[in-house]
Amino acid sequence: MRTPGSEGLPYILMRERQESMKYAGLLVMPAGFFLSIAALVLFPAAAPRAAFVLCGLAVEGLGLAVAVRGHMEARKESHP
Amino acid sequence: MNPVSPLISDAAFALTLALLLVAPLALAGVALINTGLGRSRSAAQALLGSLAMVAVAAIVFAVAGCAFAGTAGGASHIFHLAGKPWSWLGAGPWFLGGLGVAAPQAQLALLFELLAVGLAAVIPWGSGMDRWKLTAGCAAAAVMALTVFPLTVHWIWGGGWLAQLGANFGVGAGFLDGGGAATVHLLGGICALAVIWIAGPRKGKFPKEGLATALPGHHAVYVLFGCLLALVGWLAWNVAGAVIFLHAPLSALPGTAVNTVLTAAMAVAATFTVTRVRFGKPDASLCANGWLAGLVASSACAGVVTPGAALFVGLVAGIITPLIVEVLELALSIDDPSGAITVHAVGGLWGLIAAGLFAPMAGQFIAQLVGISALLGLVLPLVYLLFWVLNRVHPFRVDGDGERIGMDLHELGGGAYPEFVIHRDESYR
Repeated sequence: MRTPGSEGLPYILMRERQESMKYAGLLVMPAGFFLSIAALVLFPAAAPRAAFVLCGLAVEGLGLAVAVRGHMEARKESHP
Repeated sequence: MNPVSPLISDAAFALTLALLLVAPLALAGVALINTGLGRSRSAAQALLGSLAMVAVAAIVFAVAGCAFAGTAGGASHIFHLAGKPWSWLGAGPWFLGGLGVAAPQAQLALLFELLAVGLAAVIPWGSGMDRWKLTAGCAAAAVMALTVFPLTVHWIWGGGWLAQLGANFGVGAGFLDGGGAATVHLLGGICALAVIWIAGPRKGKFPKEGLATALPGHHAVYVLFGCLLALVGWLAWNVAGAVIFLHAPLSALPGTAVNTVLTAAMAVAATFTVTRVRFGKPDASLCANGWLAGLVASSACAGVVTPGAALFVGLVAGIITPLIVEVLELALSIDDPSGAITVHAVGGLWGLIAAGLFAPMAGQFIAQLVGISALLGLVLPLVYLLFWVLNRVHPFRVDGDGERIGMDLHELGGGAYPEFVIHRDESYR
């Protein structure tokens, strides 16, 4: 049975990295939203506006991927 | 969507009210599907939970949530940015005050939202089955009905900034969501993801070595009958939504109903084919998921696309549903018993994108993308934060003993099938 006590410092550090990945991913997602909003305000033309909104969505996707990855690794450690 | 509600004729009012009285069948269908996809030892808790979620969500929304949701053209909190008004939160009366004297369109919208909040609350309940405490589920439904649901409803249906994208920025007709693909399904799917992340997988689902353990649903008949019930409810929901939120004329409503049926039909046909090719035989639960994903996708686009486009939307929804279910479970270790993330979140996302692609209004695609961006970028982290705090106050997950004996015995003191011997779960050997 792997527990923080039995694994020592490397395990604790790994868990902390995974925890921070979860929250970092979720914090990146609003940045993508603000990019999309900025596109509305800054670009009246359709093409650059669409491109900027898509960039915002890409940033959100990146944040989601990091959050999923963070949760996934944490899950592996807690498998019964 | 036009934030200012035009007058509604008496005929349209009567028809929409009648449709909304049938709409809860969608809720019954989803509750049955959730129950059938769970295990037999948690069946009573699953169905009672659905009832409780609907009750709690409706009460909380009626008491306070409706004030934050507001109504189109009603009072709201506004800030100004770049010379444009951004209505971000409703400022209506609490306790559904003024309902009796409100405009007919506003009355129908409130009834629609009161039913929609129940459906949105039931969606994550299916994902947390077999491990999510009933009381914690009710608390989550209350939080949802008080915070994120009214927020998104105001933005999209209540004349908020997403509804006004067309008027303020010339982006199509504003964010289009006649049947609740965003406010109900995408939001419900987002909540389901947060619940799964916080509660964790069912015991024995992901062994340390090897593939994920299959924990099949206990009652395929519930699941498939739930699909048929859901169709009736969805027809009512999409047609009523087209009248209330898209201001569709009566002559456009048969088209909306036809598109709803076509999308679901094509989706289930596609899922049937994909599972037949992949596994040698069609998979009943995945076909049910495909059907439901088609219905969810139709919620966004049935009122604004042609029948040909509806078929295409259903085709894509039906193909991606079984594939995403597999990816989530096998590659991403996400234990989602009801498939809510795939069906409601991904299906809703695809429907919203398709509405942007196939709607005749210029610039509609950008409006849809901005709405999706708001829900994913702002609402998902917010839901996670709220549920994370709630989990600290009242833990979501039942203890190990409760999970072992089943939620029925642990939480209710009796099983759903007392005269039947429930077989032992192989994963506990």
